[in-house]
Amino acid sequence: MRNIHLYAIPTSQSLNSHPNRSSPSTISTPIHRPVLERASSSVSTTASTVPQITTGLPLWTRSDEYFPSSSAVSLPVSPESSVDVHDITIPSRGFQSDNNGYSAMPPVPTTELVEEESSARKKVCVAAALSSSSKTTNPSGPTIVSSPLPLPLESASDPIHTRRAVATSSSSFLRSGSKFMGTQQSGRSTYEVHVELKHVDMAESFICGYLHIQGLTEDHPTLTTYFEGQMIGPKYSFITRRRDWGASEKTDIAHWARFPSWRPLAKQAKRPDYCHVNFEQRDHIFMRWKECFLVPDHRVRDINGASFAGFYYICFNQLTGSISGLYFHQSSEKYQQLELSHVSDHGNYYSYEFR
Amino acid sequence: MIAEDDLLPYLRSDDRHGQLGALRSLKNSVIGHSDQKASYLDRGVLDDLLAIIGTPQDGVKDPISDECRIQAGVVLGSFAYSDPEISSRLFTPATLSTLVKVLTQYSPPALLIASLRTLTALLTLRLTPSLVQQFPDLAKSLSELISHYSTACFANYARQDVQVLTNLCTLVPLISPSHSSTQSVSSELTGPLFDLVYGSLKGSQASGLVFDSKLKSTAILALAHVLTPTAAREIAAAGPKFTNPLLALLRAPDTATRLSAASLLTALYTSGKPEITSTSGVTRAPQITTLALTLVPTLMKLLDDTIAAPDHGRKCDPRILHTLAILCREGGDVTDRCVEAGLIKKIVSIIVQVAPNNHFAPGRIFETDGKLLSSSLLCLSALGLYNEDYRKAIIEAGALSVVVAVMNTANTPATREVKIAACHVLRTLSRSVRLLRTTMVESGVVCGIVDLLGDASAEEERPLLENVDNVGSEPEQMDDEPVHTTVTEVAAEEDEEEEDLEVRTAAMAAVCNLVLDFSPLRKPILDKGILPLVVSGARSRYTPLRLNSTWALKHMVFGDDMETKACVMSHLGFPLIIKLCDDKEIQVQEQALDFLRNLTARSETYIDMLFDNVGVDEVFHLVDCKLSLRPVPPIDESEQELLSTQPYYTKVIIAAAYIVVHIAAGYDRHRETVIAHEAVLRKIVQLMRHENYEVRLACVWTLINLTWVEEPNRAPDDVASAGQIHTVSPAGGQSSEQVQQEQSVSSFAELYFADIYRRRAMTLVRLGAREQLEYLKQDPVLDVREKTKTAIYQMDSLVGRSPLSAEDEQDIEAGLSRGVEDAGDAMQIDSELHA
Repeated sequence: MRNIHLYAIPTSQSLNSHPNRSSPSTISTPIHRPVLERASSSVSTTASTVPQITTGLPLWTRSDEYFPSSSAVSLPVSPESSVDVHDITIPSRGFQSDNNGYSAMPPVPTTELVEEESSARKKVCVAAALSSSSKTTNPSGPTIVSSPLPLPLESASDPIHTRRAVATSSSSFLRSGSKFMGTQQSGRSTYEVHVELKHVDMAESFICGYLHIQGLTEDHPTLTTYFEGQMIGPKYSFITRRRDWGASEKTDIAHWARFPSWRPLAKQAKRPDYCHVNFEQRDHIFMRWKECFLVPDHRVRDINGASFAGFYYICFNQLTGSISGLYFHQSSEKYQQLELSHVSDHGNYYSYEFR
Repeated sequence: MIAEDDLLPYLRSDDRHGQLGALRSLKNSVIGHSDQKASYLDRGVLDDLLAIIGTPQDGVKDPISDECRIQAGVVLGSFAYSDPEISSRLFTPATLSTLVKVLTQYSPPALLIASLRTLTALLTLRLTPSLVQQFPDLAKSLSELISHYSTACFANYARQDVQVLTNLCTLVPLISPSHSSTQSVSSELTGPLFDLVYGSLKGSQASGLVFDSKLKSTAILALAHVLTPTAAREIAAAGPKFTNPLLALLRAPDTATRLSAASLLTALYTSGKPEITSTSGVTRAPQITTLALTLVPTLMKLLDDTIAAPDHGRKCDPRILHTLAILCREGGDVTDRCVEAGLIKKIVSIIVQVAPNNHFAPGRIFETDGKLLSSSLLCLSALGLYNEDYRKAIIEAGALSVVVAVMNTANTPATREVKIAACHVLRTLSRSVRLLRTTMVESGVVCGIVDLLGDASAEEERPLLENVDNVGSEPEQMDDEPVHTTVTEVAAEEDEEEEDLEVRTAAMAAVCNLVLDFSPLRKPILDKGILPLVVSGARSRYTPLRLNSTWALKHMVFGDDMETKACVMSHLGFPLIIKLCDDKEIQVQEQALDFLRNLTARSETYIDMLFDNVGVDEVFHLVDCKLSLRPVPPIDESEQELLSTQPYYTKVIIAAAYIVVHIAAGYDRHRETVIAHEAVLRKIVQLMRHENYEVRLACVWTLINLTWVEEPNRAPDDVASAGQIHTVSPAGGQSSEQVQQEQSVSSFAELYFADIYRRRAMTLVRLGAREQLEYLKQDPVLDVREKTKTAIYQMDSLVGRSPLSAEDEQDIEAGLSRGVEDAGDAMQIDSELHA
């Protein structure tokens, strides 16, 4: 955030879409499958016995009494005879028709209940036909549901709902609840700044939190904004590629180059195909922080004398927890500096996990 | 032919021939005539039919009797497949038990078919998760029937066998509509269903036997339904000979087969993947296999076809969306593809079709479209699980207003599932700090969600956990005749209650996110008086609700808001939270310990309160137990089960370790309590070699805090109390003498504390902490290495840089034990140490 009396254009833009999202297949995210592979190998011995059809009649001693068809049909079923299943002999214990001429066979499941109700006599007879012959459904036709829907009652305890979303961090400084304090230099003025991280998700290269700045305008002794950050890594490149943020490739390089820790990377990082892998295990994590709206009331769009239309280039030192930042906005004074250091917390880490 | 008025006496007579004639006449008169059905039901025909169907079989061949049973079964089926007003009258315990008896005893195939259809109709009308508990033999009987008829079918493919099998497979998902009931039938049914599916796939390829596509698809869906993660992995391991024919079915001509194949493949490749955590601690959404990606086009095509149909989305098969939901829950590329294919907008268009203008009248709309609505919402919730952009897209598509409208709809059995699904959407949308701070504030979800948590008093009356298991074990209260009715009625009530509990559980899951400290909804929700409801949830005997409630409590004490912490503690009290720390379910333990971790973070007040209410030794005993927690290997389950619970055990250890970190970050007297409990310290030192970096980090933090040298002004109460032991506090004016005395007190205190600090460090060295730290210098995780440096620096500057011999250590110990009173001695030791 900056003082608008010094630098104009009070429009707010938000960090709402990510430059690389349109082509997820290009993201070189490593695939972690060790557990799974171990799993399949451990069960493969038992699995080899699974795909065998159980043969024999394990349960009913009296089965032949009610399954006369098993002896009435010649075996094995040849491909020709099996095509038309109507040829197969139907059990002959007088089940087909009763003395009223109705089929006593219960309607087969393909019969719609409505149909049964409307014209039972005809339908019941027709229903004796097996549905295998009705393979006339148009492949592109609509999916019409005729059978009851055996969907499970959705349970909150069902594993499919309880996939745990674990936010991860690689540094004690870079975690939800971490606090930083320091200053922002704008022209000849220095403002006190506090930053409080609210959510850190290394897997998504995402960070967000509050940025408090003091004394920026007379009306508001403290202004707080909610910001979101992109961590430079496989997901976000050093090149911003956001026209709406107003930073060109040249601007990007000029700002990154101001961080001494970036210089060793300079040569590679300028390459358009450079991927900053393993970013979470390096001493410095580079980010872009974009302020999105005011806290507590996000609906307040304009603050007289202040703007958060630009964004910060950030260099975060994982060893010391210190943060250096450079504010950028096309019409702002260049290279306004943010310098923050971590506020000691003695390992007082709260625990939360989005459900 | 018999006159209709005279039918009933014939039905009740012992004359089988007369009975048979009467049944046939009855069948002719009722089929297609709802008024006739209602009239016969009024005259008690149901009992007659059930009596005939349930005629005891004495082993003697009696074709007439069998024919009567069949006819009675068909008539009953006709009643079942009619208006809901009529079919619901059939839903009695006696009907269910008679029909189940047909399945569990041996019965003619025609009777089987009729009974299966009737059961299917009744269970579709009213889901009954407790059915498998009421009839423990049911799953086994179904399993045997499937085996038997599969064998018959593979042998000669008779029409009736196919019908029986199809009906059996249709029934399978209906007898296990909830997660717990599915688990209970899975072991019985997976084998026979797999054999049937595998046989049908093989049959259609190899032998040329063309299986009825209806049978094939219902069998595949049934298998997909009962599949447990373990079974899924075993089957997936069977490899291409099973999956290739299934993949081929994705191009089958009929939609039901394509859908069933996609559904089974989804179940096979998404079931129970354990959370995967790399050594660096970065957890990524499990990567979906390329195979799963091939399912997306199939399912999207099925969905597009239904949306393009003249009837629009209303006839869309909910199973398409349900399967997509399961797929999308995996995150990653699959979700991306689905979103790129416009899934979010398509789902919202279906919802608009079903309920225009968010009009969710709790009447007919819900009866018919509840499944479709709930599947649609579940799919949305799956899409929003991981990606902030997708959450935003879901909100922009207008889903939040749908959720709010659903939550505010009157509570009926038919709306329950939709409400549960709406809660899941709310839950995933509120996984975003940004959305919590913006869209959620204006959405009006607060009233809806609090209302869904319902009336807490209802359940509070019930006994907790242990006693529930004993409900069935008091036979002396039950007479022979009404036993079945009583048990069934109790079970039906339990079903109702379980569904209500499911709603509360889902709502509580959303509450977990809404009460986080950065959520502007935290205060309005607390002001609505939610705390008693959450505390009551934490007492629930229903584990998922207990888990979510404990989770919500943990989030309420997350952050530095002391007012909320005080408010929570005023409702909760320590006994319950300590009880939850020893819960049967490991994840509840984790949340309860995390609650204590959050409570004690940055708050000496609550450390004291914990000690005062629970007792210092008890707290450390609890922590000690949790630090030593190891998963108990299950007796009859595979290694997989162990792997899937392993992360939770680790999380419990982390939570317990951070309680120690937080206590050690309190005042000096708090650090003293940690040092005094060597058993815990020993565990901490051992855990420095734990495979999880968070555990190692917590251990190192403990050491850092225990070797922390307090700045003189930080803890005035400690310094003062130390001074008071040995001197009388100066009172009155500020004479030079008094100033001098104060200075001496302060220098005494410094020495006193220097001793304490050194002694602490020595204790840690003696327990092996220093060696472990040396090892952690090489830790693969940067953060652990960095904190290790700090710990080593602090420890070494307290005990002296050179490694100490055992003799030195003894000397120092001896010196320290008498040195508290004599500051001079301590100084001597100090100089010795630095010599």
